[in-house]
Amino acid sequence: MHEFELEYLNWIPLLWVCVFLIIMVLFIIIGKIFFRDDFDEMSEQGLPFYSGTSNKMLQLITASNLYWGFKHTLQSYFNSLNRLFISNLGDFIQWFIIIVAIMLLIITGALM
Amino acid sequence: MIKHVPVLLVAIPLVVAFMLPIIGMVNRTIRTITAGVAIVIIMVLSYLLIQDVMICKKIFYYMVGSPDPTALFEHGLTFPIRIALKIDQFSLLFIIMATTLSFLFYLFSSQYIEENERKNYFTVLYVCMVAGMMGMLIANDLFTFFVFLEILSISSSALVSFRTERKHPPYAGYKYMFVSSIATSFFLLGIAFLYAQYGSFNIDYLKKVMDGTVLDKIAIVMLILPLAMKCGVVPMHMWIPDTYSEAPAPISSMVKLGSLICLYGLFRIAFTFGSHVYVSYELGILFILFGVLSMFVGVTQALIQKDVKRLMAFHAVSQVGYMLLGVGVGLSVIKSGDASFAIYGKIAMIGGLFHVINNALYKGLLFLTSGIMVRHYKTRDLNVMHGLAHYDKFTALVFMIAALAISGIPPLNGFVSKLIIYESVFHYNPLLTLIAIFVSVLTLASFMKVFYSAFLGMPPERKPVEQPILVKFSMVILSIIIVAIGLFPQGIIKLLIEPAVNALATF
Repeated sequence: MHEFELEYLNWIPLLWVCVFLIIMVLFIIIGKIFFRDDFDEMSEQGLPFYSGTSNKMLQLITASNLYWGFKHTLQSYFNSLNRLFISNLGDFIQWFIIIVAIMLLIITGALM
Repeated sequence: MIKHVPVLLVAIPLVVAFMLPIIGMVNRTIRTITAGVAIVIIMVLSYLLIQDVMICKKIFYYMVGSPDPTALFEHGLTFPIRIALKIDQFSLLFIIMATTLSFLFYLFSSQYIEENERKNYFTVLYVCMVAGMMGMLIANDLFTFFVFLEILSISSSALVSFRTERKHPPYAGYKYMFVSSIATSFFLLGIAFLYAQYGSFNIDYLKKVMDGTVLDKIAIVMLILPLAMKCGVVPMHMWIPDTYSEAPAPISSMVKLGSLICLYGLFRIAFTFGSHVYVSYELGILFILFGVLSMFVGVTQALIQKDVKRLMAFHAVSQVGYMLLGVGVGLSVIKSGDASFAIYGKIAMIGGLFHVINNALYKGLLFLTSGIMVRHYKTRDLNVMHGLAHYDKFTALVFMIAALAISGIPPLNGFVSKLIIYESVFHYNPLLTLIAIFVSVLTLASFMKVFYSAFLGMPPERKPVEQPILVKFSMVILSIIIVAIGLFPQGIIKLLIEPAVNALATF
């Protein structure tokens, strides 16, 4: 039996941790040099700025708004999935029988 | 003592489950502690086997009811119909996973599920579920496997129906029971086909005598497909979002764990019988096809969900695809006769099995965090959630760890197993690796959506309730394991995964 070579797994996690720490240190140094000293998170400066509406709920981009382009482009794919899997109990039987039939044909060699 | 461990792993939870209602009538605290202690004992017993089974490569056989239960198998199956138990490296890997996670989920549920008269039922069914899993993992005859599959299914469906926040669980539990009963009926039919031919349920014996008849092959299909259905393989997956989303959070995690135990049965039957009757290539190809289909359909469906638990449930479908892909590649080349299995087939199987363990960890943690979100917002609708991280930084942090792990971001455990799958599957077919990486990107996108919706934005209207200590403790332990496996994967691969793959490949 072939021995599993760990060298095959090109994964040196401690290196990644070191890289992460170096990036953090660089981030802090850059922040100290370029960020403004008079920034106070507890004042109005710390509040987010929303344009267009004063209604707080409308200022939120909700989960349904995210990836709308993706959903819109693949609408026909999602519609066909919804038609195929309507989650009725009869659906389970139907799909199970179809897959049993396909697998029997393949495994027993009936298609050969 | 250690030779009786196989039977103790099943007997302890079963006996305790029957005692719990009586203890619960006397004192509820003692009942909760007793159930926890029973799970701890079987967890410790499973750890005790690591030295013998994983390092010394010893296999434990046990025939319940025999005068010398450990020696009967050696004497040539004097009594072919007995409760035969067996623990080898492959089953021990899953036993360790199941006992450890059952304990952590139990710690969470002991304080998450509110204490009232119905919690007696909850505790009893939870321990029955653990017994069902243990029985399936150590059964060496098909009928015993079937019986424990039923115990797992019945207790799971009852727990899915356990009412917490919403009123839909009874319907979800009914649906789960319906699906389980279809699956187990076909499984029983498969067993009947084999018993009618060979007069035995014993897996080792059947492997010796099976001669690849058409009826054998039909039986293999009847045994494999019900387990695939219980794992939520596309296109038999729609019960997963319906069930996982309605169940209480720790039960979603446990039902997911139960699905992975069914995956154990699927792999074991495919390798034991499939290789023997020369259909391993066909089965391997089917596993790969089901895997790719599950990955793609699961993740694209997850991306458009606005119900946080349905989103996570679709990801459960998607993640099963990775496991099937890894193990399917190994299965399809195991009898190829060239060096394919040695070069990449075995590595793919290591990746697949490693992903099972990792998935159980981060998926369990994700379902637990979803429980905290749902309890705070009183809804599963992501459109309504916002800003929980302002008040609950702990939940935000553990959710982020689990979400990054499932998305395959280094240095967490999901990345390691996915990397092994990518690298090994690439040798088989580069297109499969590309699909797997694309699915991983979509996984990250959908969990970014959850994190943005539930944790960022304006602070919620009211502060969340402080989580009890055991709820936090269980999530911290899961997070630590996820990070530790990601940073130091070699140890667990060498100690647990590689022996399990060797055992599976040489059944």
